[in-house]
Amino acid sequence: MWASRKPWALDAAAAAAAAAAHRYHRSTPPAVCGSMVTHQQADAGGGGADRITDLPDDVLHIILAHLPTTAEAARTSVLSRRWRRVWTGVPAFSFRYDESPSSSSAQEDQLDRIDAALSGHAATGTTVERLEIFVPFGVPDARVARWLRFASRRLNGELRLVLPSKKSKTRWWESWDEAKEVAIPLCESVITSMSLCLDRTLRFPSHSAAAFTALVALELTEGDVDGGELGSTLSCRCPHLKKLTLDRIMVVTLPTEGGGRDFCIRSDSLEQLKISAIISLDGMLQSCTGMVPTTRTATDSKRKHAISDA
Amino acid sequence: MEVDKGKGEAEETRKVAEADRDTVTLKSSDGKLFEVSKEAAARLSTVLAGMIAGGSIDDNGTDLKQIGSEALENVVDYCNKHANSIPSAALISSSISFNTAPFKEPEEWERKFVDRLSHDALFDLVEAANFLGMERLLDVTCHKISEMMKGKSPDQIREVFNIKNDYTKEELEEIRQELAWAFYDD
Repeated sequence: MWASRKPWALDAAAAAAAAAAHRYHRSTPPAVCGSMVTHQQADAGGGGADRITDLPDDVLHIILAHLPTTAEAARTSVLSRRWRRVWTGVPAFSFRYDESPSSSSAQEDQLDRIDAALSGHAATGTTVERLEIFVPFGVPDARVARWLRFASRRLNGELRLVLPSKKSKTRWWESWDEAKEVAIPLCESVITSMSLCLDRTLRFPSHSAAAFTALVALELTEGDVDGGELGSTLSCRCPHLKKLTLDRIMVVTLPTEGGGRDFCIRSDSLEQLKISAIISLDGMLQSCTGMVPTTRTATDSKRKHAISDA
Repeated sequence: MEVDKGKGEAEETRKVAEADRDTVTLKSSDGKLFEVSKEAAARLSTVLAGMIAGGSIDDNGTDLKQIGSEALENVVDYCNKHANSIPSAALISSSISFNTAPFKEPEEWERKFVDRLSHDALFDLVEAANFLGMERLLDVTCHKISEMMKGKSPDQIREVFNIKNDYTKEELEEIRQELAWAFYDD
């Protein structure tokens, strides 16, 4: 978005010169004069008092949280001493790269920046209410695992990790890279909603006793999962899950010890289920699309959403 | 409580005398009186809701010494417009959605409402919304301010908001190095 212009790359001397060239009054701040600017549109600004700097931090955090990326919020630290650490109080991290750089080293640089920002924040020890990462080019498994680990420790709210592939939306299952795999760490933190588009195999480790106790909404897009693993995670470790979306997900089911082959979710809390997935049963592919608004009844508190192989 | 959906601008509202019990009268720092629907005031402002519930509303005009008449008129106007607008799906959607933005985008009428404000009037309204605990109005006005910052260089932002740069050249360089990830230029 801002790759073509580099306005912030100005050095300090150039900055001072530019400031002097504009209506920038260092020694004689202009008098507060409301009537002077009454008929100007807000965008016109300039010429008046500094109204923004005196706003309380809480309000500045709301303003900075509306900026599209965390980098843009962090750049406000150079405005003046007052602004030095304001951005660090914004409880949200957003990294969006809408275009992928041509060279792989430039891609690495972009990913390094995300890691640098996250590790800078990890040092503060505070929690984040929202983490959003959108990267439209290949990300190595180790990085994805690191981001998920950060989320599992620091996040108190919403996680959105979108690493889409360039696959065709209609025949997406034909070019799966099964080698890529990432484990979804169970949480020490309080993640309430999780949207993962990771374009790889998602594993839900069953050895840990931890759970997604606060998870209310889960959306998995582009990836494959083991039906048994996902089923047991959703049934046993997500006690407050209300909304589940599986979109372009390959659910692989293997014969279980009991002879069953179902991908089965039992949930007391689920209210909305949207599935647009492929269920693979012993090599047979079965496409499954549907939306199930579930309703609660007093007598039927245990519900079973099953896609059988019949 | 019945709310008169037909009410329009602040001026009209002030003329409606018979709806006494359904409205509250607010007094600006410069002594001007404004009437606003009690229901809208209680719904949109946590501070007014507390005052209404606590019985500390003055029939002759509740003093809001921190808010000037222009800002208070905008507040009342916003409350009335809000009462008349049909909330879109974006506004009433529950907290379990996956939004790309941390806040709900402003409605078209909210956008127009803040776009017509002067620089000072916008900041007066931010302060009033913050003072009155009007979360949505604060959000909409802050969104407008963030749009005035978006995509601009620090110099351009300083110019728009008249921010005085009190850093030394060395300090600026230090920050740029510390936050190199934010000041990339590829």
